[in-house]
Amino acid sequence: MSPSGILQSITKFLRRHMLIVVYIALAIFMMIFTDGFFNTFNIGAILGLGSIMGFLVLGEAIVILTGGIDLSVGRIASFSGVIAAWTMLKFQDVLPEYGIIALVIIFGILSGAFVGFINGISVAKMGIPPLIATLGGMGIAYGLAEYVFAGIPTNLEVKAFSAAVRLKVLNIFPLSSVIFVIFAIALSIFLWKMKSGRYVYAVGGSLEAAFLSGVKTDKVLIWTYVTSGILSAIGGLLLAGWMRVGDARAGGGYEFIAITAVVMAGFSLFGGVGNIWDAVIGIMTLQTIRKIIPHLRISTFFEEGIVGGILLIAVMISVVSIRRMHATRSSL
Amino acid sequence: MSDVLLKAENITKEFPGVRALDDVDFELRKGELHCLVGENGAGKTTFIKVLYGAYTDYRGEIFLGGERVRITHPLQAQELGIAAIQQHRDLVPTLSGAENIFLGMERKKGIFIDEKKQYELARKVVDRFDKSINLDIPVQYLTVAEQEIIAIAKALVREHQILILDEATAPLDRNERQILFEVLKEMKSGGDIGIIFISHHINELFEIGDRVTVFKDGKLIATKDIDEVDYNAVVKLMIGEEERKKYTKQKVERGEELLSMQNVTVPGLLSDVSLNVRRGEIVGVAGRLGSNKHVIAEVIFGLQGVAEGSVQFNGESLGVERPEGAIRKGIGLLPIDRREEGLILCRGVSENVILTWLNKIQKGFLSIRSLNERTKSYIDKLGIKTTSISQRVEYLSGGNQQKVVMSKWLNAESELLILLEPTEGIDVQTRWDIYSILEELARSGKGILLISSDLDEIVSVSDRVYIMRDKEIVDEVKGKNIEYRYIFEKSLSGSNQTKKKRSES
Repeated sequence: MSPSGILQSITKFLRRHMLIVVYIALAIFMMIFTDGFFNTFNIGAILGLGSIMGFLVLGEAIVILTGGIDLSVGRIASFSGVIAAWTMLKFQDVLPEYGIIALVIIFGILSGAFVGFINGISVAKMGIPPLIATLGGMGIAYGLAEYVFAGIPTNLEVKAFSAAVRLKVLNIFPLSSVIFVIFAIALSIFLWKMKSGRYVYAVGGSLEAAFLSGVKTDKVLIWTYVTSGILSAIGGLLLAGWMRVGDARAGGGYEFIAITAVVMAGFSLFGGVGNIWDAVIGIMTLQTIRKIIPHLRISTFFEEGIVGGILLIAVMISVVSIRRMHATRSSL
Repeated sequence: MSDVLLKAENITKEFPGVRALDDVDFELRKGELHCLVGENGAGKTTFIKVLYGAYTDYRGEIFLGGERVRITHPLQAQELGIAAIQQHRDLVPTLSGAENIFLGMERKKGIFIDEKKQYELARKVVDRFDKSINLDIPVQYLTVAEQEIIAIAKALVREHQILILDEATAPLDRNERQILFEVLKEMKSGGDIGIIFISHHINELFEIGDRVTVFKDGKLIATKDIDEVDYNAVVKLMIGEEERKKYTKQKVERGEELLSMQNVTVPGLLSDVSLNVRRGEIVGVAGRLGSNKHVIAEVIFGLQGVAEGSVQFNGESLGVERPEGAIRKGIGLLPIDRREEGLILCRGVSENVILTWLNKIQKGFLSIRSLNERTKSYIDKLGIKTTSISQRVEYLSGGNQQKVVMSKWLNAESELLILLEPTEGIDVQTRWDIYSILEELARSGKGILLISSDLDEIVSVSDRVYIMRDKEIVDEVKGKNIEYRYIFEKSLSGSNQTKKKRSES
């Protein structure tokens, strides 16, 4: 390979995997300028909360692949966390611990599926724009979560649940991150290898063409929102376990972080383009940045502002690259 | 009659104000390639849209294999074995070629998609056309011709009994076209499949067609065996022999030059185009689909950059500007898609009419009364039929909508008016209204550039006509030489034969 050829493939690699490069640069920066940011405690914290939010990111990612957006992921997470606390309280004297945990998982997932289903029906059957439909779903999830305990954060009665979530595999990786990786692998196989997964991409790429090819686009959309709800609910269960409390306000603002991670990962907001693993790296990068902010003695009040800035930059990059693509296409 | 695949009886389809299809009887046999020809707006596209379920409100009956069906949905048409290829509209741009070809009918291995098998099968079909097409990358990165081949391959693997190709050869080059013909011949030789083929290249009919059906003004004029007719006979059927009802134009004094384009080239879109428009003149640009005549409007209106050549307006050179610059200098554009590009549909008549004028207002507040008065004067002058000045324009008929677009530009005091297909889908009466408005505008010293596929229109209102073909202006005619048949043949791409005949006679 000629030198210019090597240079070309390097730039190609960098462009494709920009996030990994950014992440490595970030890590080197932190290793040089701070002492001991990357200790096992911080790594555990990043992976723990990162993987919990990662579930919301997976849900957000598949919805964005269809060309939609899901504002309800954060509130669904808090709703399922509250449902977990409620289930534990209700059944603590009736069932053995593992029975309660099984119920917690079932009820939690159902709560997410319920809100996701409302979102999906509103988008696919009633033609409500996803932004508004999921804003409604967000309100419903929040309202229900507040209603259960009148808005008061409630401790998880089954201590084993929190202990399990916080369990560290090989002393570094929180159990939540292991579960997350399993789900991410399953989701990526689904998206790449299975019919329904390809339909998610097809619907986002061109709803009309997919429809005319015989794809049941309504069904695909509804299932996508339901899956997003379920994934967010699982994230919510883990979050509640991580914090040992079911709090109706716990997931507020997480939709903002999830959307930022997905857009950072190069997903097109018009749908049809994006890779799940990039989204995984996206949320981990974002989580690292959020963790670094207090470490650099920057006020945590700036945190949201910084994440917002990242979101805008990511959207700008994606819009510019789309424009460039159209430019090259029309010059053909 | 077992060899009849599809039979359509008394098909009628109406749009507001227009009868697009008028009592059409049509029959497709097994193993035949049936060509549909006709001018733009003759009804052939409307007809095939009925066949593949794009409309739910047509009248008449369709029989498939002797059985009566009512096709009201594209999916239903597909299930009945009818596939329509409408260029690359039915591909998902972000999916690969192989994925697109098998979209909706994926080959599976267990619960997973068998990508290898799909790729191999897709490769096999596509290789019949072009071995170099990359089936792994999103189709949006392929050329239009390659996308077209993917779309055809998609229909082929579906093994439909009836295949409809609407202008399918337009983006293909000569070689690809030949290959497509071979494939079509092979398909119909099996004797089970019927193919409906729409093309503007009349020469193509004689290469692959078995029968030809001619449409005109929404009516089916004739169905002939291809051996019964020759090129001239088909053209004659398309044009019609009866005396055309003509709009007759008054003579107008020509003024100074308003617009001039010199050797304008836009890579891939226009090559070496020169034309001019004087005040008081209606200049027509004729050409068929694909001649890119509309690009001229885009260049003048600042929507399209120019690689070579210059555009002068009122003696001043027009650079690449945005519409706002063009409008300020006095250019108005009636776009092709008046509903999407010409109007703000959900707003009222007066709001649309004053839109171009708002820029000129210096005062801080709008005087609603004077705006309304202005609007009223245009409603009277142009005879816009509306219940009130605040009526939403989406509820107006097509002709009245077009008049609103015209008032918009009159209000902006445009000196040059560019019209793109101004009377498409508009009834005859309103059409004539529009022509007389154009004439009056010309008389008042404005310049009109009329870009239209409707030859009747071009012939009856233009003072001068440029004929376009394949991105170029091939001829210019004026006065008495503006003749329907001549322009028609000149604008056909495969018109070598006729040219020869002309020089012989």
